[in-house]
Amino acid sequence: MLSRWSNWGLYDFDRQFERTLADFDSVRREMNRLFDGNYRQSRAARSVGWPRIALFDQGANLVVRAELPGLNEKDVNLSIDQGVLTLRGERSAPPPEGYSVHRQERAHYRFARSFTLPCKVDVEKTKAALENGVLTVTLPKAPEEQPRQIAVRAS
Amino acid sequence: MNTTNEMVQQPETISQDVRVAPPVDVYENADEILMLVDVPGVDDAGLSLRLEGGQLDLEARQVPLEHEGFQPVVFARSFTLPRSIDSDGVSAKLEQGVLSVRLRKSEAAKPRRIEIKTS
Repeated sequence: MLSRWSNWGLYDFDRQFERTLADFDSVRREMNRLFDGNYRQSRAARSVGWPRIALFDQGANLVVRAELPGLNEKDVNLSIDQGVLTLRGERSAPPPEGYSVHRQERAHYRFARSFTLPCKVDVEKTKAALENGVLTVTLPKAPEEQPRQIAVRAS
Repeated sequence: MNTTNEMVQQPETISQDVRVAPPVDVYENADEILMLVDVPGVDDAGLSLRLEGGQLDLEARQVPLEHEGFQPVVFARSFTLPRSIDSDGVSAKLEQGVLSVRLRKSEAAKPRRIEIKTS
């Protein structure tokens, strides 16, 4: 290891050298992870955009639609805390017993997505349904947030 | 440049489907080939499977929402099947947005145990 000199040029070189070592270290760690057999999972975890989610404001309700193919009710966890809606879940797609694998594109996903709700909602009346692999969460807005008609009067 | 004129001259386009290739798993055992396809938001009516000339065409149409701003997609993909598939033995099932297609192998293609006799 190089010793630190008061000479700035050499000090810089020293730091550069350490940074290079750190880079090597991160490459080594990445390689280890690859060979650990967790590669499939780590790739899935890194990909963004799963599940595909859409949010709508329908006037009286806020609606969240998430595409969760292959998930059961018990695989999905939905919570609201201080105006933040969090959707968590896990989709495992293990190969069926007794089959050999030709192609595996349906990845194992573990996901958590959070959304700050744009207005107050009635948590008690919130409904969530899972149908055809699509989760639909209907969040009725709080009474004071409901759309209202204002009568215009001629003076 | 007359932009107004250009716009008038442009032919009107009909909005086209957004076609997406869904992720697929393909498995095989002694009797059949099993395909699993992620097609969320598709019901039985929106599903079409066609087998012709050794090619399997899959088209799965998402149920549209009444809410504008949501663009339903069409999941579409084609597969060339091996000759050993019995074209009458194809079955499909849709469960929780996952389509499973079972392709039965023809009798001739199934593995067989051959007895070896010693003379």
